[in-house]
Amino acid sequence: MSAVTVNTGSAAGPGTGGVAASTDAFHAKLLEQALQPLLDGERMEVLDLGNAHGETVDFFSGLRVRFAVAAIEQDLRALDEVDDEDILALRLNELLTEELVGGARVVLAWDLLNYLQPRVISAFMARLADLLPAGALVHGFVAYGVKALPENPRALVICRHGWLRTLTRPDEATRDVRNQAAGNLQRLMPDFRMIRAMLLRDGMQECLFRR
Amino acid sequence: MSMFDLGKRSSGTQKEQNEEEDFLRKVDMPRQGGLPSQGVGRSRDAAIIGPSIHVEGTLRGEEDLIIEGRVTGTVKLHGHSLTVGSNGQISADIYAHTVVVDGTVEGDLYGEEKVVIRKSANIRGNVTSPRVSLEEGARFKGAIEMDAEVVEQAMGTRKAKSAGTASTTGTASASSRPETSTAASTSSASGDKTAEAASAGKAGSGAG
Repeated sequence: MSAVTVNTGSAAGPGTGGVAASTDAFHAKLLEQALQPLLDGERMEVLDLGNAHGETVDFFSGLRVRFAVAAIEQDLRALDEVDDEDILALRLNELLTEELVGGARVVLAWDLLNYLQPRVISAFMARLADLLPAGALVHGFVAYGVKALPENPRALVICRHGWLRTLTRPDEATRDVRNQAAGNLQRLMPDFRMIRAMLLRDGMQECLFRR
Repeated sequence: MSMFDLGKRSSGTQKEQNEEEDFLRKVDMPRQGGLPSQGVGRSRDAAIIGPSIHVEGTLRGEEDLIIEGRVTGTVKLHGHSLTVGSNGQISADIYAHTVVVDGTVEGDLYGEEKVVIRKSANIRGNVTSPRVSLEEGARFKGAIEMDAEVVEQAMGTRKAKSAGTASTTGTASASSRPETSTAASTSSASGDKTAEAASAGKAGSGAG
């Protein structure tokens, strides 16, 4: 889990869309575990809740995968402003459709859980539970030993099997951490069970939840 | 060569004419790098639907095509490449050998060889192709099917379905009926989508 530096030989250039390529890659062992069947030749359906990134698409290219990109981080964060529970559920049904989510065996949540209010996490995970098959895995990072987070979730990409890299945004402001202890998170998602968690050197905790 | 020859048009609003002039400047510029048939650099060898043109219905062709205008319905260019230019706005399922997207697409994309999503692209729909590349900054929402078996199955289904279907009203066919095609382009023909097109779209959504 220790952060290592790799020379990707790339820098921000045309096509980076406002983010610069970071050279720091880190080993995400639980993600590696979750995606291992794919590398073993099994067909999988993977749902990415974040935005589409070319490097991640490149990683999945050639594998037996249906890779769905929900791109709903901003939409989910906007749900913090929704007070009415019925409207919240309705919005979640619109964002997470059966066509998009159905059948996914692995969900990539990245840093999202750190940026949602508990009531939104609860409703969001309940909606996911409705759509995911039993045994499906949700992978993400939870702020554990950090005091501040970037104002927006990191743009993480899979640079190779089990290895992630952050596309850094220049001059990114920070925000206080909305602490989500593992026990609290578990209570917010009764349909899921945290099966593994690993503390990374940067203070983030890599987590794997099973439906 | 092209049935969608921009030089044939003389009407349109000032805005459309400006867009057209910008577009013509771009197509006249040689493009460096990239695939030979994926952009304006090869536009002289490909048919072009200009920015002020709106096509409704099934668009078929036997040559490469660049779309800078609006297309609603279905686009079928089996064995050839389709480029959705930066001005292009497509609300259609697309079937082609190679699909390159710089503009906006709402619909499913089927690339027999590959689908290239450029950084200026905005796509809402599913992609089925053995090779998919996406530039950083592109906006994409949908599923990418990369399982070779599923892709082949989907492509086989598409080919079988399209082979037995004739063009109907509102269909622009680049290979055999250029006069019809031009008319459809310039008059914003509002032909009916074929039942086959509608069913193909549904099947496409499920194929991913």
